[in-house]
Amino acid sequence: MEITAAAQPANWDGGVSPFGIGWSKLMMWLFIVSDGLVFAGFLAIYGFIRLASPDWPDRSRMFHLDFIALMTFTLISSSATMATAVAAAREGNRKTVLRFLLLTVLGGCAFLGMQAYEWTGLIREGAGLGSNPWGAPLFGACFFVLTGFHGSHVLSGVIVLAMTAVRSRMGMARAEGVELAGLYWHFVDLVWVFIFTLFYLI
Amino acid sequence: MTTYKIYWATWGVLLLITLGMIAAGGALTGKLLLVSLLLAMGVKAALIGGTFMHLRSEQLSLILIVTLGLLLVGAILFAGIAADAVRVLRLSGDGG
Amino acid sequence: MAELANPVHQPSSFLRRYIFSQDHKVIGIQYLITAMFMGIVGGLLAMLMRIQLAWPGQNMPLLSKLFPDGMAGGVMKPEFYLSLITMHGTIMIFFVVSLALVGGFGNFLIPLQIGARDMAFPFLNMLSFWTIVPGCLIMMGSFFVEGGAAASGWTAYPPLSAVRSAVPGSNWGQTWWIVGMALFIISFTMGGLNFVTTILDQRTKGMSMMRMPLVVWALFIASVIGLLTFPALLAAAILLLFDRHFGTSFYLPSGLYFGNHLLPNKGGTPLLWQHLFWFLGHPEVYVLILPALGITLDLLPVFTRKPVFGYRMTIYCLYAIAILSMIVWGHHMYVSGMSPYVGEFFAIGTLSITLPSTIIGVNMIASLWGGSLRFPAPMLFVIGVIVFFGTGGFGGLFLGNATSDIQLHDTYFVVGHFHLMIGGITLLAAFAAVYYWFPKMFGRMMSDRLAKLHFWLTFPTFYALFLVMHYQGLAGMPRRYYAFDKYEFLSGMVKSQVHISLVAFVLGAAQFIFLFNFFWSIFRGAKAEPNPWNAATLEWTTASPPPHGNWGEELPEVHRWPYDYSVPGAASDCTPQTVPPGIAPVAM
Repeated sequence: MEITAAAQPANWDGGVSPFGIGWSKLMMWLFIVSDGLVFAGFLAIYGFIRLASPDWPDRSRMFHLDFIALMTFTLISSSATMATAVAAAREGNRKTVLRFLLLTVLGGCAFLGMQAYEWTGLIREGAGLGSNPWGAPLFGACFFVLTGFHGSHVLSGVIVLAMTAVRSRMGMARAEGVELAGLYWHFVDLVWVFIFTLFYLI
Repeated sequence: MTTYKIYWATWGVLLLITLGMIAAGGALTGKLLLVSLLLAMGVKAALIGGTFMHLRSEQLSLILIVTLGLLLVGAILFAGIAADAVRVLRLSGDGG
Repeated sequence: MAELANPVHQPSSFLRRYIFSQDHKVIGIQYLITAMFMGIVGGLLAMLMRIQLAWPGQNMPLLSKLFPDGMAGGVMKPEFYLSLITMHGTIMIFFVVSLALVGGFGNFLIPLQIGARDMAFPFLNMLSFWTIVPGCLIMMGSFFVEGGAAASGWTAYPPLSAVRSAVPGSNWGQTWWIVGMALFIISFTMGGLNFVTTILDQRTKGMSMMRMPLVVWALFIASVIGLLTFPALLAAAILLLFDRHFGTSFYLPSGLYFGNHLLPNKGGTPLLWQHLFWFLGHPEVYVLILPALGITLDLLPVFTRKPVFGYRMTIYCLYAIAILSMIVWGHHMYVSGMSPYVGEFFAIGTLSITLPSTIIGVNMIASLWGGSLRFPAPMLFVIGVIVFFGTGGFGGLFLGNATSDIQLHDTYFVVGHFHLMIGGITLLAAFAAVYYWFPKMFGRMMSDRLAKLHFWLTFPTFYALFLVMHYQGLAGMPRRYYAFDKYEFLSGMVKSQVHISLVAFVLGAAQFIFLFNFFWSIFRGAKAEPNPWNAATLEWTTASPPPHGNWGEELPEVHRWPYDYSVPGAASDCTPQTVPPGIAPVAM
């Protein structure tokens, strides 16, 4: 509860703060809901297309699940380092914050690199937005749009985290700033959980 | 250090579930596979949201707003359009 | 945010104060004036449509200079007519009514009515306005790109919107349309996040949720609806862009022919877009209409001198409408060939939404009962809203029911209905709000005489226009046709087209009275008293116009709900929210 008290500016004396958190964090949560619904929209569209397609290609033919598992491992690990960085920021441990933020950025970059590798392989095999060699006409479009939109979120997350790391190095980052960046990063990880299950496995 | 520990314990559980999900693809089939994968996805999402994003220690109203806002609206959207997807499949003639 | 605690810190340069301002009041007025400008544009488009419908094939050499493609030789091309209906709808719904009611009054009123110094995120607020400006410019600019503006209707149904070679407007005009809409969605999301956070976390001492004015409640719920539904359209619009430019076929089925050649697309269906569009499209109607109802309910007690009827019930009904609005979008798609079982579900949902709507309508009428009514211009517009809400709503019963909708869907019945509802109600409420809060914005009054003239030229003409369209629709006149003189069964309608157009010109011209009144009163209007309407809400307890930071050194403290009018035992018939219970009894 100390954090929530610190997050509230000194002049705040309104009726009640309905959620017991500062307004920056509240807005971050609302933004996550809103942004999450964009992904919900994409996933619903993908679900619609899956249901409306007479057949859907067998994923084990074009994806190497071990490799996807490695990507998931990277992203989950970066989420754990991020959580550690947030906890360190709360304790005011600047050195740990910086170290774990950089580890998180590294994890994000590794994920992006692996995704680029995965994309290149599939494009070489003839997959594209308009067509793909494995059957269902919209398979390629769904794959590239879903993973691409998630990838763009990872990229923006990496940029935000890098900026936070620089600010933290310069001693300008507040604990709340690290926490908000962390919320966004975990959200990106959360979306991957859904994409991983719904697109690669089911 | 106790807070750090819980994150890395969560990390371990998440990894185990992920490996289990991939293994399930070879072991189970049909509806059972679908349900277990969706359940595992739900558990993973709850772990990330609850522990990493500290949703567990927030007030109930915030938890409800976030989870209901995301899940309910997403579910409504999907439920509303899913029936038509099946219909499109039937009308296209390929689905019999 | 810390500097906000110091109220005297006003930026001094003109640019920071009036152009790139972070003050919610300036931003609100900026939104309002942008909406007025876009309203003129959207209105002129409507006038062009009315000229074409009343006198098809009329030669207008002047316009061929402005639109050399669409009006080549001075005669309107059918494609250009389609662009006109598309852009009229888009501009009016997203860039006029949304901007005026949500952007304009949302920004201006929320901090003032809940006792905050500004929005929670002033910079985000400024960014939201300066995102909408390029959106407006892109929308208007699309008329002048190759092929002209988008021509697939404000709903942008594929394949017209997804196949670039379909009609001239399907080319760059449609792309610009999507970019403009994306900017609108981004701006609206930033604004909505700000509104919700501000209302939840920035209320002054004593201002509990159940002491907020109904207009703030309505804006709050409208913002929540917007935040929950706009993302689906954003996702859909991104895919539409992919379909147009990157070769996907999310919305395009196999076997489509355009100009005798087979398109390569396969696998998609336009039905998907329709679902996703209306998943936003229907809640958007409530995003527009709820603030209008909130304004109405907020103004009623001021001019009846008695508390609003059914405050709590109204709030519950706003919630009910918000929830129901998200499960009824399919009633726009009864004719799309959707599954009849789904159609049945949507019909039941739609008809149950009449329940909370009716309760709100009855609350409005009951708020009039037994009051001592006064009729300055804002009250006239408020009465107009109630009348439109009651009578326009009847059309909804026919359209919400799948059986009758399939007959009426593609006729002017729909045009008449939604112009009365989201055209009439929102515009009348916006006018009421401008006349009512103008003294708060500029410290001067608008001319009441001109305002009344404006009302008596707006309200009856609105009715004459759109009620007649209901009957045209019942007679089977299809909508979106560019000329009706070729159809024998509609020959009896030709005369009514001319009548409607003449009335439309009167309605359009009457709006210039309002514009003149507005800009003239900013400089020449009579000086306003501190509380010219004797209202109890919080914004009237500060100076007009309020200083930067809204309140002096101390934030106000709230002791009662906003509708303490004619409380027995109180000294005057209006007890402001800041009066402590010791001085006047608290009614609620």
